[in-house]
Amino acid sequence: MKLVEQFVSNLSPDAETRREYAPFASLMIIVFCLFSVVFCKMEVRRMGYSVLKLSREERQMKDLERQQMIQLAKITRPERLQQVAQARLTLKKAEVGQIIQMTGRGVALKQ
Amino acid sequence: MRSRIVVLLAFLALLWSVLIGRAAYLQLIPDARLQGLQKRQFETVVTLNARRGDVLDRNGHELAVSMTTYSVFADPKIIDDMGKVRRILWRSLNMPPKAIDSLLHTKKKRFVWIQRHIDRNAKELIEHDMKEAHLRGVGFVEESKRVYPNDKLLAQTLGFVGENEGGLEGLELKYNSELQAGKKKVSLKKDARGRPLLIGGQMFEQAPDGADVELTIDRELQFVLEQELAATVAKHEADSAVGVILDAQTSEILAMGSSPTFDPNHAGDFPIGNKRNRTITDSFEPGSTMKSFIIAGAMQRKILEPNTIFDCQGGVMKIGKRTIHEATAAEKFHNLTAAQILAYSSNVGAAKIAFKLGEDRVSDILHDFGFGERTGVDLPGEVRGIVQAKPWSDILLANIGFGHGVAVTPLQIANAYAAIANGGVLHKPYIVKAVRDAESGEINDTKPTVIRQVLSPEAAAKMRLMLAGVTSGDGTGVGARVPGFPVAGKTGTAQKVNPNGRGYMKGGYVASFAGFLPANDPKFVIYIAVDHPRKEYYGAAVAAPVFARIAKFAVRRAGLAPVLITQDDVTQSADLARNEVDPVDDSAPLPTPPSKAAKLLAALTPSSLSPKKTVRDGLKLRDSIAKKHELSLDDTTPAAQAAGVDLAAVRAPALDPSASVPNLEGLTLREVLTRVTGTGVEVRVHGEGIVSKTVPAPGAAFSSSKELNIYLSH
Repeated sequence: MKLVEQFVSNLSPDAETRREYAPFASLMIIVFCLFSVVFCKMEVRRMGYSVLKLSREERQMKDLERQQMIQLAKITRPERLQQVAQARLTLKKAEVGQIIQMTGRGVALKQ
Repeated sequence: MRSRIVVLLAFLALLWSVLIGRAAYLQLIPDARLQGLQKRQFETVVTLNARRGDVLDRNGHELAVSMTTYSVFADPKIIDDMGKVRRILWRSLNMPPKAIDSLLHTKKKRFVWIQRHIDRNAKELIEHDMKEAHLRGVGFVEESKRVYPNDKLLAQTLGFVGENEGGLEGLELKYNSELQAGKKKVSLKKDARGRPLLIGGQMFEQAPDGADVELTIDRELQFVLEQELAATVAKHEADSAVGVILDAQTSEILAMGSSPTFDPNHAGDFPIGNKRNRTITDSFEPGSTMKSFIIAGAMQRKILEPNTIFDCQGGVMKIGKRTIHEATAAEKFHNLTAAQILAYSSNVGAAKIAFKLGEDRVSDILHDFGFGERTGVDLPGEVRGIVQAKPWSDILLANIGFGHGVAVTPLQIANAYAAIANGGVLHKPYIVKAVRDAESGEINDTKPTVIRQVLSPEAAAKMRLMLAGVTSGDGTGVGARVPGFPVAGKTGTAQKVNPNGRGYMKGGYVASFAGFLPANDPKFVIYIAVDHPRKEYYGAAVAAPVFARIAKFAVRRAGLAPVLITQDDVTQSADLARNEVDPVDDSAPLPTPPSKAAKLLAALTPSSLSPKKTVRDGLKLRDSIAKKHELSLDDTTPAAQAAGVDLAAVRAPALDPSASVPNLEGLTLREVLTRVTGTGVEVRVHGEGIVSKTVPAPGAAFSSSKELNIYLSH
């Protein structure tokens, strides 16, 4: 028991020792805080670059999507569809007798 | 020594004080010049480009869109190796080396455009090659380019934009402020490499895009219209052709265009004349299509009834020194009813009606139907047309009766016919259905606008029947018939004004047809005019068949069920109307008593001819029609088709859902669907080929849901 008390008293410095180490500890805390601030600022900057890069990528993706949308509009234009249907698939325009008007419930269709 | 040290220290202290004071002054006292210098050194301005709004059709198909492109520029002064740069540009841009040389060998300039509007792939290729070769002096500017994915489709209505995407013509010009996007400039701190820094949560926000404009145009209908117009110009060696399709009830513009046209992607390569939207910018004498309005106006003012007789004097009428003739010398009409004057397109008859009305009333009629004033359509460059100021000479009054002496635009004519079609209400035609704000998502819908009631519903109904008579029997508009759908309309053949002097051009005509269908419940108003056809020139031969082809597609696309009143039925009703003539002369028409014609007129009203009713009674009607026309059940002759009878439906009896399921094995899908149409039985189809099995099986009763599963196999 006595040994334990002695060990504890060794760990907790007395008032004089505390006074001796106080400026050093304070300085360490200040330095740590300053490093933390710098680290945080660096993180903000690093994330700023990431956001910038991602926003550019997002724009590129949007541009790409738009280009593909325009491409789709171009290849599905009526003139081209008719050309493909007639030239490549050898289809002909529907004649009157070939058209069925489906008007029953649930089967009325717009063409 | 000591004093010297003190003096030196004092001097140093003073020096430091001055330095600290100056530093404090620079840091603490505001100075605009210094702030400007700081801003220039540490800040960068980023321009955020926004997209010009899209133009879409009524079904959301893109008609005009903008895409991001890149423009290549060079600073010849800092290019070290011209040969390598030329090779890189030549490989990526497909530009002739000589052209690149001529651009790069201008050392005095620090900025030259190499090529505008290249795509991202070409840009990345150049960037990569320049980086690999450690070269500098070539840069890129991000720009936006307007693209019209459908090439020539609707070109004259859409218009086009300039190099900086400002609208120059058509809808691009009219709706420029809505479509145009704002450019946003953002000032940001930059790092040593010039990259913008995102500080304090400041984010890149896109500038608001331009609003999207949704049109009432149907892309497919527009395509068919333009295709038919181009084919007609080629076939008849005409100068041009113009067409408009309106929604009969609201005057929404479903399609409009003319031939020849242009490609707005390369607007500069086409003559100016091709870029004109002739449907609103060109006015011309319409010819006989005008007779409908004079007769309608006369009926509205109780001046005549459909059966009022006019003496057409054998097709010749002298007015002062001038003589009015019918369209051909063979037409020697004498006593014609008003309905017959319309059906046979008698010029003398129309002139007599105009005289009966007098110039004040004819002028009022023209004004009522919107002639001589802009329709107010939301397109730029619309003209008023020409209605001359009163007093009119007798010959002018007579001429106006049959569509000469006035000038109208195709849109005015189509819109006036829409008023007859929808029960007498003149609407303001419109092409923009909605404007959708990109930022707020707010949608501004356009609603149909009534201008005025020009005819009573009764007068409009009578006009519809009379106009249906034009495409019946021996009327002039038989070429406009559409099997299965009664068509109401009027042909027109107008002489062209001589552009080099007085009078009319020899051999120059405008052939036209204006009409709507189905006549009993109009959905589409279509106007076609062909300018100076050289092979044939009558509206009946040139424009009416074009109308018929476009109308066939329109009703099929709209999914309209045939109304099962054949053109022959209309002919009979029109004949009855004509033959039931009351003994009146053209000076004192009497009101028409209720008659068979009136009953037939009632039979042609929308309520009694609704698709529901016709579908319900369809097969019975078809049977009776087939019987009446003595058509055998397997008749497939053109005569049968001309009668508008769907013979496939007549061949087999309809299914009776209250009875047991019949044996359908071996039938084609078409035959099954024909028997099922209108019975309420819901068919589910499985597989391809002919019927091999049905569930429920033949002989079994239908389930309560009246569902019939058809299994097909080859």
